[in-house]
Amino acid sequence: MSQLVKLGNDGLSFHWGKKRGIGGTNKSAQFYESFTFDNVEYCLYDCVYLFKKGEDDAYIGKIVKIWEQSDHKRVKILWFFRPCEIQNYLGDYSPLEKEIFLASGEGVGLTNVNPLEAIAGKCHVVCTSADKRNLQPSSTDVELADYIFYRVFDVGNYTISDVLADTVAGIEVEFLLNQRKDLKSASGSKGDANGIFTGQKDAFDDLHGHFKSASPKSLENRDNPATAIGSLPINGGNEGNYDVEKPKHSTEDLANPTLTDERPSEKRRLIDEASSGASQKDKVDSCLRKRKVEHGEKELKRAKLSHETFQKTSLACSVQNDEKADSQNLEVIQRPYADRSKWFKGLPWDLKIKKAHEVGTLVLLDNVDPSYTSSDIEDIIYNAFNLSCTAKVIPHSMFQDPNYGEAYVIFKARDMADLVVRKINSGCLMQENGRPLVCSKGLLKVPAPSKSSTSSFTGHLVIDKVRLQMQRDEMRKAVSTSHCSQPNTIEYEMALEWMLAQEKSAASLNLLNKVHDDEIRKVRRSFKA
Amino acid sequence: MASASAPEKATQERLEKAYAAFQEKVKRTVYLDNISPQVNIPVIRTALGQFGNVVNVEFILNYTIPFDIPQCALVEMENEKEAAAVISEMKNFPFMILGMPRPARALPAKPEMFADRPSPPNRKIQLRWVKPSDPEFEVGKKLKQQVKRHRAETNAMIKLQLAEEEKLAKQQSEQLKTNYKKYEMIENIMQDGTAARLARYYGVNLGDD
Repeated sequence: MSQLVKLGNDGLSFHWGKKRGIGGTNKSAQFYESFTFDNVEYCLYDCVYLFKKGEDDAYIGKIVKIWEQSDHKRVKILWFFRPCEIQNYLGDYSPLEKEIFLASGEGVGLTNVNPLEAIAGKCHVVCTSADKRNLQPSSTDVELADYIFYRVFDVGNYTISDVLADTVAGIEVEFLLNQRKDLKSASGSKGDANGIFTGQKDAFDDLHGHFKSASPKSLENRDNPATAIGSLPINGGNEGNYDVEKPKHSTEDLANPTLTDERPSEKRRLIDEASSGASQKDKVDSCLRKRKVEHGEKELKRAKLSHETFQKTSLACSVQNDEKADSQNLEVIQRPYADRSKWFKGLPWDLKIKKAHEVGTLVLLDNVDPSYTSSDIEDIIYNAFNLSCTAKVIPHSMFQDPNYGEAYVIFKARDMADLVVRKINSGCLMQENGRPLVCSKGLLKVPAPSKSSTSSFTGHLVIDKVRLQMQRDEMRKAVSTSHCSQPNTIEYEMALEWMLAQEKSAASLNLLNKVHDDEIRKVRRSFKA
Repeated sequence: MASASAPEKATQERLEKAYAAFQEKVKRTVYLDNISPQVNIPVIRTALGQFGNVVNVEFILNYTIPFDIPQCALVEMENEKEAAAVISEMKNFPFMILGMPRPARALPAKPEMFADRPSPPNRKIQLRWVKPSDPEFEVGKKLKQQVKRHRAETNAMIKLQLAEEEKLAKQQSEQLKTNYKKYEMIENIMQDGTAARLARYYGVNLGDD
């Protein structure tokens, strides 16, 4: 048993664990039971995260074979499906929090062979099935688990079932269920599950109820992705187009994932750091710590996953939707990663819009309800187009018409921006109170604020001769500070003239805005007639 | 799924608190405009510092008006009373910042002036794609055109107002120049003794009583 610590390309340590046997073509493959990668020990039947190159997705799978052949280390992974990936086959059922589905049956998407280096981290999956052969987890186990599963998804006939076959992917099902070492409360309490398939639903309601009352810090931000997933099927007409696209897409992906070494190593380290505390108790503590410390990261990652899956199909679907354009009511729900405070601040907004304009991803929205905020706009775009964006509402000064709100929106890609502009302008996206959105691409030309100290301000007068006299500090201070003018000065009278002018301007703008308001109402009323 | 569970309640409370805090902030913030481009944050702080404690100053940048408009700012005071004091003082007495005679203007702030405001919790936004065959589609079209027209009208009015301001400034500048000239003239005659001589000649007493 060689205990050589091999360093991979990215300096991550690796060494094999217990050997299992020799096999494969030409007897050149050496099978193993475990290995240690980057200080984390992985054993057969452990659940892991795998990242696909170029995607923020994390796939979850179970290691069912480990071997090395001609210097390549490989693992065979049996996949789990996330609810969003098999959404259309769930029917009315909304999946439990943290629920995933084990792949079963025969066909594409069941298992894959991957290079070992594709593994991004360990994942704690607990099986809550009431099957006799399954070691029943305690409620603590379930709470601490990253995911739970009790049902399988058959990749051959696309059905979901809670019946666990005897073998899945050629492996005895016992190995796929909870292992003693994985559970905190491994007390072998098999007696409970007397094939209680009928009572199963109740049991899960209890567990489910338990999830909800679990520590807020671990679940608070999970709610968002869960609700987003759960309520999206409500969207009326759009669904039709999703049917065909989604599963094909996801299974295709699974068939040829070119999972490579490339993955965000930061995220890996964070997960590893938590799970490298071998002992059970440490694992529990570190799991909690892991959640506290980087739930932001995880939430982003997980939410991004569900978002990305939608985004892939959205572009294709929304083009098809052009013709259909049903008068569908969309209730705007908060998009998955709505907590803006976690976003990296980045460039100041005015630089951002300049850059976006150059790349063609900037869109100006008009006739926005003035009470909407930036995150409302992002939600609206997300719900109407399934696209994410960053938006900023234009703040009102006294010059702006209070009947209308405007916002600048930056998209991730040029074609997204073009699509949105096209759709909004050709169609009619109504907000409440009959406000159709108006949009245009690009940046409004606005004179740059002149920051130079020599630029003059209309209304600030200087007497040239006096200016020359103001070399003395005192004189300079007199004008450069701010003060309330006293009535016995010339400036006072002039100031009064200005104040009069200001009042006049304000009054006329007010009047104009009222006229606008009346005109808007008139048009809306004409519709009701 | 269960409704209003503990974690959801916590988020909800957080949102409500944030919104309430924002509303409170709006009450004690002053909207300031007619500000010269040379004015920056420290200047405003010192300027309004005499009315109370200035918590924060933020300029409202101009993104959409295609003219050179004076700067606008949001000044957050420590409490509502101070904000009200600023507004009433500046209403009754012309308050000049970094230049004369054009005074700055103060008004109570409104939520729409804040770009980064939170949305009211519990608000549900409804959105609708209207079919072209729906009669409301035509209304939508009309409204869209109206938006464009209204924007043009507002811009035209702003342009007009800016032109009037220029006129006023020019007029005042002229007035000031002539006044100053007169003053200088008087100063000169007083200084070089011409006034005194003339006074003696006419028998007028130039004394200050």
